[in-house]
Amino acid sequence: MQQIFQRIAWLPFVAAAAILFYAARDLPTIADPNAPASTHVSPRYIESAVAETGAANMVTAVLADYRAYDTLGETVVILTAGLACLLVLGAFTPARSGPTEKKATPYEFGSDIVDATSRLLIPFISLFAFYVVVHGHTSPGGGFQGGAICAAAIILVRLVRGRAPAFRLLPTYTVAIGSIGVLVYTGTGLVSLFFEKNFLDYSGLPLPFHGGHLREMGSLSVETGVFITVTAVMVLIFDVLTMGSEE
Amino acid sequence: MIAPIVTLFLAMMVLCAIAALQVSDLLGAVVIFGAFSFFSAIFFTLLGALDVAFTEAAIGAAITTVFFVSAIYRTHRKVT
Repeated sequence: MQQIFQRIAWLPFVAAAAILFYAARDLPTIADPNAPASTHVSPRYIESAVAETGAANMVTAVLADYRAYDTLGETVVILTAGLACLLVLGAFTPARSGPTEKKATPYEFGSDIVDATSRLLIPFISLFAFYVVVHGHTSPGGGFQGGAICAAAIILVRLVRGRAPAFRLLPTYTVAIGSIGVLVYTGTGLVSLFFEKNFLDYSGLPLPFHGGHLREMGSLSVETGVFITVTAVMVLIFDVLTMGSEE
Repeated sequence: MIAPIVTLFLAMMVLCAIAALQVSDLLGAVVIFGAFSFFSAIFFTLLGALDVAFTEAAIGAAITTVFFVSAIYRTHRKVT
């Protein structure tokens, strides 16, 4: 009986693929100016995004300004994912049983070549991460992207040199840093709420700027919060996954 | 003009996905999955989504590979 099921297991996949291919015929082609997505709300953003938000990169304008609520939700989701990893994996860590002959620290490559190459690369990766965040209003980038790149740099240091040289932090503290990112995000919104504007309406921020420039600064603050959260959660997941392999 | 190149990279992504499923060594599957992320990063670049592309390169090709390797080290390498 089981063999029959295994024999015909490909049938549902073929059926699903056929349905997907059939449905994909109705999708508009790439860069079609008459597609529904390009005719309803996009012209509004294209015409007024620079004047309203000061961000030439419209992706950042939509992500951090027009749809700031959604991005707040995404940031909280990322923090929750990190917390879940800490809870699930951290609970199992002390009871790691199994072959104990692999006692040597496997997360440190001892090679000098790897060490020298990473020493050459890491400053540029870190600098690029900050550039991506700060310059994300005029070039492709933003908090999520910069956070991912910065986390890649920190994880590279931890892979090559161990956990000690790269911000030796307990996972509980890393979670706290990630929460600080969400706090920066919601704090920006609460400040504008305090100055009698809507939540996350950056035109209420008490900064010496006007118009689009002020909203650009507000979304930069929000992107900084996203950057902190993404970096902390990525490093946290790596720490939790490799916990118990050192010390 | 750009359509054949996009199709080529999409085909490479499908090939990588099938290969990652077929390989019985999980470490090899992770490496093939990194190649999949690399091809999809190029694909996003061709579509003009540069920020998505380097996020995919950083997360998909680098961080996820590291996470998978750590997870494999904690469990078993071979498919049983």
